[in-house]
Amino acid sequence: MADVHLKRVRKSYGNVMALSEINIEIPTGTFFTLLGPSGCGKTTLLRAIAGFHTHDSGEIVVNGTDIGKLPAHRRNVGMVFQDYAIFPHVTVRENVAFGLKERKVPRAEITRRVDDILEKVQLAAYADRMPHALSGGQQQRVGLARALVVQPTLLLMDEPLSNLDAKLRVDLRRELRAVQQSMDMTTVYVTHDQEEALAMSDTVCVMYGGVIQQAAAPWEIYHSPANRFVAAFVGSNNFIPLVNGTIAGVPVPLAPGIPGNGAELALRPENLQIVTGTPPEGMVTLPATLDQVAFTGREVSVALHLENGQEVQAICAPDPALLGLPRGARTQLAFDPSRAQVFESGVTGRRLS
Amino acid sequence: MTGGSLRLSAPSFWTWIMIAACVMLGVLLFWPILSVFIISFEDADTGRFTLENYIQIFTRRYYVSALTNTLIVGVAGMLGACLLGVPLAFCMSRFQLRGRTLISTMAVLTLVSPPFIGAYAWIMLLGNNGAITNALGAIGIDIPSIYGMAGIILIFSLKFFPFIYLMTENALNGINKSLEDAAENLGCSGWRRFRKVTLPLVFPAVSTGAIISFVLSIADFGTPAIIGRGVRTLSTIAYTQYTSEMGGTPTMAVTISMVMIAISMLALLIQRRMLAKRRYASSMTHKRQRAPLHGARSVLVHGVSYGIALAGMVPAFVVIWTSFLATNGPVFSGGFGLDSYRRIMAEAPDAVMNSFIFALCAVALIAVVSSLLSFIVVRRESFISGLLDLILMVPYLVPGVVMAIGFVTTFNSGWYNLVGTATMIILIVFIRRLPYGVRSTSSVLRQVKPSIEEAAIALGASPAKTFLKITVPLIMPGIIVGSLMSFITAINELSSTLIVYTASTVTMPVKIYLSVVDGEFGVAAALSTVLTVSTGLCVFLVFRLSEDREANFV
Repeated sequence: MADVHLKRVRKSYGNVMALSEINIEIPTGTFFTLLGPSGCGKTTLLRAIAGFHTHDSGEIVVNGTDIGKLPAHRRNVGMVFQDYAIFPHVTVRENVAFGLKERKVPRAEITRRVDDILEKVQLAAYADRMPHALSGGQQQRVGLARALVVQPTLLLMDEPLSNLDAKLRVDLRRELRAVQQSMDMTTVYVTHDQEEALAMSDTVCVMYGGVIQQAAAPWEIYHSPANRFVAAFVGSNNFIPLVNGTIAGVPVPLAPGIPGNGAELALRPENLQIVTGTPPEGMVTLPATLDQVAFTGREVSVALHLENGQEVQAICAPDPALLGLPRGARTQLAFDPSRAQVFESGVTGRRLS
Repeated sequence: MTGGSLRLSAPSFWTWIMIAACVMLGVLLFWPILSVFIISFEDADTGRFTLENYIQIFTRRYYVSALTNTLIVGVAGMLGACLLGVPLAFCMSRFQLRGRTLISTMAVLTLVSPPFIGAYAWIMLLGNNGAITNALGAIGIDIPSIYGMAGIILIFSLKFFPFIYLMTENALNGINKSLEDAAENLGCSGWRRFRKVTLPLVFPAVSTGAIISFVLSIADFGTPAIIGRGVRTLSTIAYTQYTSEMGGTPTMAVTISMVMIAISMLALLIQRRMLAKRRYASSMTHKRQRAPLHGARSVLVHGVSYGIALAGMVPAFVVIWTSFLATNGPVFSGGFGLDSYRRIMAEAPDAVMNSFIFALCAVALIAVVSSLLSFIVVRRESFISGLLDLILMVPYLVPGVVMAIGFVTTFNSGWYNLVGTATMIILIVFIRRLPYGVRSTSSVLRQVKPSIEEAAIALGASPAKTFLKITVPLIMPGIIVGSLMSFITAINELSSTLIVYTASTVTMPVKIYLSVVDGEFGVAAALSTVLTVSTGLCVFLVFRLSEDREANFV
């Protein structure tokens, strides 16, 4: 259990800036997720904390001491790998006992602690199996048990669920979070799966281009993205450029001080409605043409384009009338301007409202 | 992401290993080669700088003819090997042959048996007093002499075709069936398709096999020495010069050595250049079915395949047969008996013992060093590890005679005087065969995910301990196969040992060579049988232990 403080951590490969001025504070017991597309630096940062990469400068302070200069095997940091990294030549029990043996823990205590942790990850019955006799999900539980049994100061997980199939991923995600909370283990978790990040984390830290874009609670990340990148990466969003304060000629009421040009309106698909009759009070309506309707069970995903050719995605409650609309049907899109956000144009454009 | 990842965690341990590896290769590989290089520019009497040695080699008839002969046997041996290897590969990969395993096993056995055994076995058959010569002579047929150029080329072709066969078959099996189907669909079929599509696709493999055959042909000492009679090659004159210059500075011997290295390197460069323009990205292969055979076609294909494979095995059959012939001194007295084995027990037990001891010592060294070197080459992607990978090609290119002369001219005084010691023989074999071990070990290590080692490190194991407890057990199959491969080549080593042996460090190959020179064919056959059987046993083990059987041998 520990609080972690990254101070001005930098890392570059030649001319490529992998991490630029990373400053993060992680309180004890927090589930902290690094989220971003591949190449954003999240894995580099995780491996720098683990000690598998050197960082060029900055400090990695755990419980008040800088561990950044220690070799990896002396950092007492638990690590769970994407490809499980289970030692294939020894049993599950010996895999889990490995770190305890390295720490010269007495034999009886090793047995007890290994049994306890295997119980916790529901693998007690598999203790004497060889790893190849386990499924991917079971192997990853061994990986988790092995990392946790040594009571590391900090648990690092590098996309631990991404090699599993979708259903198992959701189950194991719950289990992982439960174990983490029961042990109050400070955890740094790397993923590119935004749903996973939102579901599991206390804090989500969105990274792009080696720079932290926003670090906040999942609710805040989703509802008040700090910039256009976060708004685009977390959840889906329609970005519609403003031209002289209008969209395809339809004026949009904007908060004072927002420029009518060089900014984009971000509209979540679930905040868009398809209106056939008169639009409700206070809503902005845009004429649109229907391209495709996809029924996915819980909801209906509708693709349309506006009169200026701008493509838009809407998500609506299932409605047979909607499903019956033909391709090319003329309809109206309505949205509540108070739920729209405005960003500066550009990948990481600033949020204006 | 994979390489360099342990750099921080492993500064001390692996950096030390890397430094040790560089020092070791510097001392055992580059120092000898460098000293040979320097001596080649020295005047034998005054020790002053001169180009005279090289001028002599390229002007004096004695040297020029050896140089020409070397190139002729090298190129002809290589072509002969291609003529045997490519058709065999094609038959094996495209048709349903009976006894495929038998054929590929015979090819591998041919590959690992020492060439000088082939030379004298063929003399036993086709020499002036050979079995076939006499049999044909009795019915009035005279066959051309096996001695000289023809014999050398015949033996090189029969000895080295398995390299080409194994590499080409592998490549043929790897060709995506759809490519040939596409060619056929576009109207290109039969021989034309083979020439326009199939052959170009396997050309890299054929040329790699060919270059190995060429380099080994020009480096081989035993074959021209035994069967060449008047035909001298660079390796035989290097040996002769070296023995005649004994005591003085072996300037001419080392100059010849440098020319041999230069030829090998040139050959490799030419091949690399030819391959540079031919990079084929291979996709997931859609394997082709082997065609069934019927009637005359079946007889032909089986005949060709077995004929080629058996021709390579002839020497082994001959030496085993001969070893059980009754002898009276050097004379075969008719009938069968164990006299030859009795004689080697009486006269050459030390040769047998030495061979095994030296080979085992060298292999133990190779096993340890190659696993450490593989880790550096595979896991640490730095400039130096890339360089190490490249440097490990060098022993392939340096003929045994050259390596031995290098060692003798380097480690010959003071506390590092190794001349005449078993240590020198072991070290030469070690450095010459190290690449086999590294290659086999690193190919297995490449399949071990680095995250497994990182997991151990994250759990608190130091880099050295991680290597011992995690990496070594996981690459053990590679270490074992590599060790067996090095053992096979180590126990058959002749060309370098012949330069550095003394009365107390005679090995089996040396004793066989000396026996053949003395006309003691019975003793030579019995020793060759011991060698062949121990080699065959190792081949059997390699087959049992590894998945990609034949690939280990090329």
